[in-house]
Amino acid sequence: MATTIMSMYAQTPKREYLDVGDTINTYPKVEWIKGNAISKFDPSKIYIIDLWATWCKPCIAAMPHFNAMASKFKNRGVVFIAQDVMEGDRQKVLDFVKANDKMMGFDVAFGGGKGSDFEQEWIKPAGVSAIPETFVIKGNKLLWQTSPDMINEAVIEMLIKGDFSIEKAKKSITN
Amino acid sequence: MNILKINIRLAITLSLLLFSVASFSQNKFTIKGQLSPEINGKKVLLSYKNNGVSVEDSTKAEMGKFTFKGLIGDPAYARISVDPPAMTTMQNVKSLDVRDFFIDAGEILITGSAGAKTAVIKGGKTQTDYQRRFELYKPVQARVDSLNTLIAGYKEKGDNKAMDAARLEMNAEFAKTGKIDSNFIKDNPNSFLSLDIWRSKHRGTLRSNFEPEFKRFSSEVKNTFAGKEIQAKFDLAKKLAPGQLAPEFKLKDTAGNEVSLSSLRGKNVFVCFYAPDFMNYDAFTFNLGRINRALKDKNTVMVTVYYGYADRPDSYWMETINRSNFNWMNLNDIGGVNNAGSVSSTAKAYGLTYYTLPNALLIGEDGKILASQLKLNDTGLAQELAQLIK
Repeated sequence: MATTIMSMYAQTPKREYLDVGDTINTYPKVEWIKGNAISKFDPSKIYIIDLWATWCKPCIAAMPHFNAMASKFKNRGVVFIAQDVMEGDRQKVLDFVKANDKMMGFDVAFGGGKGSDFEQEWIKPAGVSAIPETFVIKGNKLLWQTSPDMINEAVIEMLIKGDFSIEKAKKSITN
Repeated sequence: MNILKINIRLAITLSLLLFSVASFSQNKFTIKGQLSPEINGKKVLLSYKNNGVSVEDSTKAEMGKFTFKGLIGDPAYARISVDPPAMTTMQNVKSLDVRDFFIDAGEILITGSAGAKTAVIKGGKTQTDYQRRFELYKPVQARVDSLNTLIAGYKEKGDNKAMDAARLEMNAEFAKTGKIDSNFIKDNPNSFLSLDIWRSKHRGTLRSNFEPEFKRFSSEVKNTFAGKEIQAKFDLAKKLAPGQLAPEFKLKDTAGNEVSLSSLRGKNVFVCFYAPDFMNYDAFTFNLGRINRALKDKNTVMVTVYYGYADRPDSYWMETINRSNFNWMNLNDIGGVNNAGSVSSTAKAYGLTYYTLPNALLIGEDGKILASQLKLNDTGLAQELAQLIK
């Protein structure tokens, strides 16, 4: 029953909230500028979505780590997406991706600035007020809303194995 | 004749604090100054905190000579300003003749052939320690100064890359001061300055895992007014640990009806004490919404308790509720916290001050605390709390 309501909810044009534990089936309308475009989440895959912008220095600083994780795990059913947000200058983003091609071995999407579908369907409902921020989705469920430095090999292994919990993930970081 | 002035804001709370200040012994100090004789007929301002209460005193220098007399409990961090302007601005900040030092009981000598900035200050043990720490900071300060000059140059040339690199180095230099301080604290457990530095890093809620660090201070240091205040905070943290019965409170809701915590027995209670409009306030209110959504089917009452600021009308409470979408039980304890700390019985029982707000607890159906010292900016908190309720 709860699942039915949730999936109906996800299809309504505007999502009010996106909380950990919520069902999420579709990817908001974005422009895919590198890698594979998706519009629906594949329930058999794990998605690690990193929200970034060209003006966000900590986001860019986190990219080499994100890239290392992507090259290690992308053939094991894990999809890495760098989702550009909170800026409207498309050309600037294209130039950045072109200039940093080697550092960005993952899918890249441009969300668009204010009023974009990504802002309406994701940023506002999830309460994203600052970036970088990372979302983990598996089995059409939002499992974790965190920061990119919390995503390490141990955490991704947990996700693949199926014994992930936020508590366990946090412990693996502090240990 | 010195005119003793106490901050107006604090004068109101002084009467409340008088008991605790008076119950600790107060010692006499005398500051004798001899600066350049050219400093003649100019105002000299002294400000310090006596066991937490701000005190301002001023006098006139005659041919560079001035004297201050007063009483202190703990050694006091002080600032002396010679001929201060009516207002400190970005433009005049560099030309201010100010100097920070420590007042210990006894005599303090401030001597020099120019102003206070370059004077030699000789006082008690805390001032000696303060001077020692200043020496340890010197190499870092020198590098920060030269980096500032470099950054200004890079900015002029538009060299962003070099500017970023210099800023990174600047951050690394600032990080060194933290290391210097933690080493100083470790090496000087019998210094009040060590306690003062330590306390400035722990202004918020004191988590019990910091108690072993505090225990390393000498008993002399722990027995100061500040030391006892810190110990009281640790004792309070124990009373508010999971498994303890949550202290009772009775507060008014938006309709003016009194609601007591005990009247909610049989339900889980998430209670968040807050004063609005701090940094990242919107992220905080969003996270409370998340918590509400995660707990709403778990026999839980969501409660937010409002604390105001002296300069806001009481009607600001309702404005805050509406603007923040707090569509659950709202109570207020206006006046329960002020600049001096906790005032009301609720604020005292929960250790609430402007430094520790916002502060939240999850209380079980039996009235016992399930979780306290919650990290309210953690987006995952809602899920963690949901798991705590069976």
